[in-house]
Amino acid sequence: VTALESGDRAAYLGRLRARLDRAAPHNLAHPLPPPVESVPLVQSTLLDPDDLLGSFLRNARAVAAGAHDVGGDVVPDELLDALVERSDVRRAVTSAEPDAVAVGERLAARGVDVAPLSIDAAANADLGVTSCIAAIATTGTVVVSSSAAGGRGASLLPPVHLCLVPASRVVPTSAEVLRPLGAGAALPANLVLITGPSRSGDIEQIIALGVHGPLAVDLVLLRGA
Amino acid sequence: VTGGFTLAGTTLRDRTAEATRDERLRHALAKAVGRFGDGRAVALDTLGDPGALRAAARRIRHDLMDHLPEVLERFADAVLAAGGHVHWAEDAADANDYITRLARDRGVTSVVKGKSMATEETALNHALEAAGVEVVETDLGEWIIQLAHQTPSHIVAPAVHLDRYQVRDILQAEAEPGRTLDAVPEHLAAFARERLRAKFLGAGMGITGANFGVAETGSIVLVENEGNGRFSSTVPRIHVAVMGMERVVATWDQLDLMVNLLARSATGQHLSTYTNVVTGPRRAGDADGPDELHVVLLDNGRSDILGSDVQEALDCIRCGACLNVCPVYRQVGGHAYGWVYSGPIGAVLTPLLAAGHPEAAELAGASTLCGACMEACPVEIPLQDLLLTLRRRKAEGAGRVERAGWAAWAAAWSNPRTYRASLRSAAAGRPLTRFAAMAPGLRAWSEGRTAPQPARRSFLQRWKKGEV
Repeated sequence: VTALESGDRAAYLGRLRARLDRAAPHNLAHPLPPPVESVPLVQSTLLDPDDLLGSFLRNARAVAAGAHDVGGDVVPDELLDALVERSDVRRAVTSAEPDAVAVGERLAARGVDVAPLSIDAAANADLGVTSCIAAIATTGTVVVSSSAAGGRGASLLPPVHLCLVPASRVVPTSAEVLRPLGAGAALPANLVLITGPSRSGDIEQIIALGVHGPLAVDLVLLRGA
Repeated sequence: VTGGFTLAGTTLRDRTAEATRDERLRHALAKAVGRFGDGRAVALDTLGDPGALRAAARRIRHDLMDHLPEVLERFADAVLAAGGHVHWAEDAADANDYITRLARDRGVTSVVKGKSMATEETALNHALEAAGVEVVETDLGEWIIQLAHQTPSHIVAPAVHLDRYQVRDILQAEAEPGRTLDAVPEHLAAFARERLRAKFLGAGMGITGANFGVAETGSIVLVENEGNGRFSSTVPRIHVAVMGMERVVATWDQLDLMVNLLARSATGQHLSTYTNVVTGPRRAGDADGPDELHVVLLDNGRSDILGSDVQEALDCIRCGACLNVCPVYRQVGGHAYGWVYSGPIGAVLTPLLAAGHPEAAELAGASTLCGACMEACPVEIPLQDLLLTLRRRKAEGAGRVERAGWAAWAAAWSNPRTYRASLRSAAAGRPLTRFAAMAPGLRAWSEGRTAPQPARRSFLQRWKKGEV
């Protein structure tokens, strides 16, 4: 269990190759569709191509995220005050992203006990603040990278996740986020597409929010950033 | 019987009879499964051309399986390059042994698990518990059935057979004295959050499944809504992902299509709440994340399906849509199938993956062949074709007497003279058909079927006499 690789790769793959070498011809009643030259893009009526940012806000709200539409490039004081009051925020944790750290400093000025990210700090925080590397308009999704954020816990453990969404990072669909991942640049240890607050339908398929992850996700769309 | 893997030693007939007598089960199923189906239809309706996407997805999955050795090798090399461990597990015992040894070697006493069907298949929990390791399921549905000592009855919603009152009673046993839980799903979920949070923070190892592996980058993709997979792959020092070897895709382009279809088909979401991409262990500078990532590539009978006339069973992306539309599943639920996988895909996979159980072959009969499953399948697996193929296989393996009987019938009806003779003797024996149906060997088959009554005189006889 210390070696990086274990088991018998050659025998394992050899067995598969032997099976495929004497493969049965495809003879099912429903014939195969033609080969796929390029993987088709998923297009959805949920995207208004003329209103990317409006689509993002609308689709985020449809999955029970709070979507705040802000003009400049920072979270306004009134919004920050309102969030602190609404969720009774006493302790917060921030990701390593500069814009999230800046929000942390402003929270600290309001008397909130702000800590850098660690599992312990995140486990005790009322609020986690991150930025995102991209946001998807069709689904109201934000994409958080562990390399940019310096870890994963700020968007996972606290009951409220506040995520900054610079308007320049909003893209139409998942394709703009996922397809370039194969292009060669090293991936972070964790990349997570977050679409609304944590939810479960495991009891009678009735949706309950906040099962393990955040009960509330507040997205702040910064139109000037 | 309800609630366990009861394949060995029972018959499909007994299990379905028990399930259809359970009014509460049928009521719970009808409500929950109906919600799934409605959501799926709405979500697919927002896509431009879902039919074209599904056809492309079918062909992509098919071609991936035709190149599985190369894709798998690229995937494994990329996992290793990202600093992860890879274990090539031949079967369930091999996978369980690796994980159990790993836990012992690293001094792990407590494990949290994200939702995983592969580890249900290998019965990993029993192996870890036998080694003295505490295992806690953290998917809400999985936790409920673990506490109730049951098994999952749905690929996506393991506790779909229970109503809220039953869930309340199960969780009440976990509450501290004096605390009374009510049967409100949101409150029960909050109770689970509170209890399982402590387990996450104390666990030395997190074990998850894998919805997909992406060969280009050696990434594991976990698709979920609660956060159980994110916690299991973030908080403990060691993350183990157990992946059926067929769950691999070659490229991120393919992954993009598959996750979009998976979410919509499984729960009617446009994307699941968390699409979680794990590539190697934590990096220098990360404040959290596991120090070790182990990917266990599970064969466990899958290689026997590859290259066979039912290979398309490996195309499945485990969305559960075929269960929700199946007229059989909707009446009997998951436990009647007797093993890990239920519904139409279970009726295909069980005879193949549980081939060691002689009772498994009859699962191919648990279908009306109506074809609703293929209509619902995001990768268009022709499930009814596969079921027919498996029934044919079973018939070829039928007993000597049964086969001789069918052969005699086929020979008699292939020749006009013997065909007419058989009709005459059937007419003469007309009063006997009712009794023949009660013969011991035929009773199981003839119950619920009406024996055809041959006419006193055949059409041909009447034609010859000028009566018609």
